[in-house]
Amino acid sequence: MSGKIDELLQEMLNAGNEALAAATNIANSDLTKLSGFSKRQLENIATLTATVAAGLASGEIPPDQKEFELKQIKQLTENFVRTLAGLALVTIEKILNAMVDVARGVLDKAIGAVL
Amino acid sequence: MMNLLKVKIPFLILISSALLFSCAVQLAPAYDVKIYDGIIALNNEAQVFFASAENGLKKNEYEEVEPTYNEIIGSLQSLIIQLDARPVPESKMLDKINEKLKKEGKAPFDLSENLPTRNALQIILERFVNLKTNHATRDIKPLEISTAVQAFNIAIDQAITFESHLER
Repeated sequence: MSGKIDELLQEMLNAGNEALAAATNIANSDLTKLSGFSKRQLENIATLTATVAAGLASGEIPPDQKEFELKQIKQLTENFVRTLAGLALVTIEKILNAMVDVARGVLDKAIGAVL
Repeated sequence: MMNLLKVKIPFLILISSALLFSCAVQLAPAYDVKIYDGIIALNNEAQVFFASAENGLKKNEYEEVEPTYNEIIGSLQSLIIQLDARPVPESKMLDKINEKLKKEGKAPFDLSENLPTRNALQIILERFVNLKTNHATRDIKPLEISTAVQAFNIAIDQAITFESHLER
């Protein structure tokens, strides 16, 4: 029985490492994606802001459009943050499920050992 | 007594494991290929329009361009309706995350109202309605088109990135 328990503990230790590796892989892969998205968004929002400022200064964008353009920049910036939060939520979900899969495997083995 | 325990424990473990691990955790909506494809089609449609308008638009061209505005606006409205109809998962875990965020004074994840894709499409819809309204009454200068392209690209990137991330 002691042998079985040792074996089970070793399985659990391995599963812990496996869960950590799965979580790290997901986090690394998603982090690259999130970081690329953030960089693109911040650069493009900065470019848009500069274009609007230049257009308003030169008169190519009529003054009555100022409010609309500023509102769009604000909405785009807010939605960038919201999108980033949504992406992080999906990543959290993926990590949780990867861990649940590993835990389920250990539990199946534990049940097998007890039975 | 010992025999009874021997029988009961494995069953208890089985029931608990079934309860705990029978379904996967879902915090965000499911990936919907029809919505994703609709957004990609909208992007193509809008990019073709922007390419044809890069030198600006004359007021007297409005009638010729009006059907394109209507097609794009119609596609956007249709996609927004599809998004509103997409079920949002109810999650106790998400409720707990939101409780914590509220306590810290941060905005909660309210995916039913604040779905990133829906907001991005709403921003694009407002842009096209604004462009159409202005074009009906005056010329549209190249820099205005350039501004519209830049705003569109930021919003469509938000929608495409979020929707593609839902495919997990």
